[in-house]
Amino acid sequence: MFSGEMNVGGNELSRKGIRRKNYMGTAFMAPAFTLFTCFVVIPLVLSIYYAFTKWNGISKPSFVGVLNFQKLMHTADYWKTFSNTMILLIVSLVFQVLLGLLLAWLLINSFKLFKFFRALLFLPVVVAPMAIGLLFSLFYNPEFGIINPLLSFFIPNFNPPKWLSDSSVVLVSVIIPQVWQYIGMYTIIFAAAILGIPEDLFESARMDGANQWKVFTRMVIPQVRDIFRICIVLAVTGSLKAFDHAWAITGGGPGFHSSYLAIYMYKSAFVRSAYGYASAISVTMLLVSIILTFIVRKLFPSDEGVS
Amino acid sequence: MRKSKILLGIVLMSVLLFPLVAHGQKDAAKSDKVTLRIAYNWTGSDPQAPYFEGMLDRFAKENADSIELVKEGVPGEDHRFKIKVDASADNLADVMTYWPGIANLKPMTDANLLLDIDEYLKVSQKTAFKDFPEAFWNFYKIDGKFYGIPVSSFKGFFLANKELFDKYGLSIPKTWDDFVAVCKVFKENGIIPFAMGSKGGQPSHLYYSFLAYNFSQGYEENAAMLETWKFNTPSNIKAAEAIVNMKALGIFPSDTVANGEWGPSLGLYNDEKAAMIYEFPWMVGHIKKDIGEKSVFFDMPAYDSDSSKTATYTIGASNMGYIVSKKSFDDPKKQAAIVKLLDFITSDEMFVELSKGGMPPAKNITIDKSVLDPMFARSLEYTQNQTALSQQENFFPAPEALSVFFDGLDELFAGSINAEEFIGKVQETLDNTK
Repeated sequence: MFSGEMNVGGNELSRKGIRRKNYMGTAFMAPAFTLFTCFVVIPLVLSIYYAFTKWNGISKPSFVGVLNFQKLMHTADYWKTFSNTMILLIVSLVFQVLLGLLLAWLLINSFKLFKFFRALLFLPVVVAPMAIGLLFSLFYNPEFGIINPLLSFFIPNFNPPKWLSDSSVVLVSVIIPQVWQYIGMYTIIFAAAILGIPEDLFESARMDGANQWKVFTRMVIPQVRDIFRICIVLAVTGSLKAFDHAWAITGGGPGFHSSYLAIYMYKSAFVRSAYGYASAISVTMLLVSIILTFIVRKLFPSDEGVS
Repeated sequence: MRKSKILLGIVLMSVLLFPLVAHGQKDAAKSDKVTLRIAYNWTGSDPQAPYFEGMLDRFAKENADSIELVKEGVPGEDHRFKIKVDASADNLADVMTYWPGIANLKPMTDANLLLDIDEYLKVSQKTAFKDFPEAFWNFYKIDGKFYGIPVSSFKGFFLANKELFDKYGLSIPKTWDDFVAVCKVFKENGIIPFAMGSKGGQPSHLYYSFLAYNFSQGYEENAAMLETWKFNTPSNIKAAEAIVNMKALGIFPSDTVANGEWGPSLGLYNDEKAAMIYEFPWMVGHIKKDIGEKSVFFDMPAYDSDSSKTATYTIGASNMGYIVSKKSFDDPKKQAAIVKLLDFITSDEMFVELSKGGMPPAKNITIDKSVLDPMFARSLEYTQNQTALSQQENFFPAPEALSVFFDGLDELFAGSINAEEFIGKVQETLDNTK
């Protein structure tokens, strides 16, 4: 009886406490929720609405159904920028995520000045992408740039391509600075994850005779699985919204040969004043990112998902 | 503990709300003044910037008791995007600089965002229609109304580095064959014959217009585009083919995107890596003094023998004007202040100041050439008898087609597409947007 009364009292106290906590939680969440709703949710909903309209950004939008999407499907420029974005995505996954992991492992194991190299690799990450883009646009210039003389020095009889105006080369030219800039970020993320693995595991593996490669493939990779998944999501989202480097270096040109979906959307909206069409592009970008996130989740389920 | 949590919550909420409250109070404190926003692109490293912004500062100082002038300077093409975004958000500045032409202005006039300048001229005591040549007013004319006050005019001019010509024993070309021969010699000696690149259609679209007008009926065909929506005309086809031929001859820089836009193109000429250039007044301030002294003006030889116009025309127009927000002008609290500002920025004094930065005035005023940059003064003198023909940009009836034209030029100069594909792309967009 006594204990029951205490329980009842305890439950009342607990409920009051929860209610008070809820008030506090709501109060603290309110500003972030309001900002998120205003700047993410509402624009997202409006974008979906505008995707079904013809709108020059100034006059009243007129409803055109799925016309913008039909137009997209039949526009070569859209598919060109779509394929460019997918190429960037694959290159990012290979050269940023996989190479980032490998570099992290090598840095931790092979370099005495690990902290120095870690800082060195991270340095480009903190520079504005536009600045990196402008820098590379100078590097690529055949008259003033340093890339052609450097390559000519190392490769005899080197015939330099027109880095920014040859349509078969220009995409590579704008991808390189982007991959280079962010590889350090993935290296640091993986390095932090690897350093978080208990030292005992490494010692046991070595005592069992595992070599570096086996330690890396059989122990490190499974241990950083969750981080790996996060890095893939970062690379996917980073590729889908890629803009700055290509814009600074070539403006997405010539034509759309170095444009990604984000540049195509930007030019459609702000240069061609086709806001409805641009919104349709943004909706397809959203769909692609949802599909890719779903695929990543299926391919790399989290530990909770596995259990 | 509980009290301190609540207190912390209140403090955090206050911090978040403070900027909004503070902003509101600041506005309230200024309520006795009229706030005017002026958006312009003559800022940063633009040669007009010190003169234009200096005059704006003077206006702000002289009217500090009644007007709060907010300067919204965004350099170059980004200014165009700013105005478009402002227009979309119904947040246009009160007075703006902007480019003329249907493709640029019509979306805003259709939405009734811009003031019919007649409304201003009716109340202004200082500025009148007759102060500006009618030809310049016409660049801002849509459906019989004028939506902009012409500010700057321009005429393009060809420059040749005489020292480089002398070094290789060459003469300034008089015929197209001379021009090709001269280019061959420069190319063999590692000099880019003609500094003309294309990034975002700059500066190539002006040279393309020059070439197109070179052919019979070229100007007439393009000027009619507003009515005909036809870009696939004989002159445009010939001009596109001429670009392909010139590229094949190695007349342009090898990488036309890397050396496109205004700065990189002039950079080649300034560093004596290129022998000739087609230049415009807004870049005069960026021409190195010693290079200017080595340069001579010349008439580009006619590409096609059926034309005799080359020496007598150049690309020229009014390329920038003031536009005014209709909503702001209709606001009784703001109108007098806007008139005051417009009277000031259309005054002779302002045009004289702007000319110091290399801007030929669109207003009928006489400029004392001794105060001008010597190179600019020379360009004015050289082009004074040449007929100015407006660039094609002003004849495009839709912004989509203009954008495809600019993008297409990048591809044409880069060699990614041929003449037929270029013409087809632009015409297809015109057909689809008609």
